[in-house]
Amino acid sequence: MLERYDRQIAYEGIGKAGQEKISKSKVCVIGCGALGTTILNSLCRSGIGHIIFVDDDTVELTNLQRQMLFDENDVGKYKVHAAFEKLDVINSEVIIEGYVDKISADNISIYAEDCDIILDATDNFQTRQVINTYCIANNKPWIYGGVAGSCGMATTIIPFKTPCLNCLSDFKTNEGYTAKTSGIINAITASIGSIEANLAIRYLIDKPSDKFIYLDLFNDIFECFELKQNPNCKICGNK
Amino acid sequence: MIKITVKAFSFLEKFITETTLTLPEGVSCEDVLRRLNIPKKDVFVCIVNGSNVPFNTKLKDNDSLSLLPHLEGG
Repeated sequence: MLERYDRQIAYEGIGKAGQEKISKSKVCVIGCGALGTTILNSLCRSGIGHIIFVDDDTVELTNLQRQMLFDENDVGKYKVHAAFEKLDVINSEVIIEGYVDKISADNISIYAEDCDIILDATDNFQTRQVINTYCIANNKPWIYGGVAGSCGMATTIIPFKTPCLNCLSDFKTNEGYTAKTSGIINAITASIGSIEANLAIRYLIDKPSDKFIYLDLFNDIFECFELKQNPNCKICGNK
Repeated sequence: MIKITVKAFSFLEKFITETTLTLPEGVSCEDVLRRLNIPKKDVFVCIVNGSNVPFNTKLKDNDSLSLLPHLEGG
């Protein structure tokens, strides 16, 4: 059973003990676009025990440039259905559940309740706020990721230990830079998706990152910033 | 008066790249955004001396302020 993970186990940062933790883990991936497909591909191959993912979109031709689990035959299908077909044959040892649904404050607990960690693969700030509020209220860690153009960023949010989304930003509306407004290259979605998956695995094997990671692949910028909680944060402060 | 360095990343480079400002004591990150005509909605995180800070954080002499854009795509 562990043979397929031989090279991953051989890496001393993971080892057999880490692989066993990975295989007993349950994660929830919210969104199945460019970040989501990279994250799902990576987590499935890494041998996460149980993966739940949620998205309500269908595959469009313009998605194929960067959404790595889809091909021309998938155009028009629900992303969840198309991704499930691919993931199921990548690693049949993983329990995979995909749901066609739009995440909201009313339904997030249905999918995330029993999961060890949530990964953000959404394309809007309001859903990230839903994830943040749910995770702080339920003391559940999550991985934030965002991309546009040739830039991306990611960080691990562990309630009451690292800054939450609200500590990081005053932003309240969906007015940021997106693939639609600013274009996007597939190198950045693949990079940030892989980093998010890696951040999740590191948390699951008790080696969490405490940095805010920023990349700009057309300007050769690779930065890590320190994270500080805001004691006055309205969501997570003074608790 | 205090002297601070401001660096803007990627999409925010259309407003400034890197500049040094001399400002009155007590100015906050938000005040710097206003002074440089950078819309607050375009900035996701303010980093001062290598760590994230709230936008209303008061700046000190020789502080280095980095501005990261709001990347919403996924």
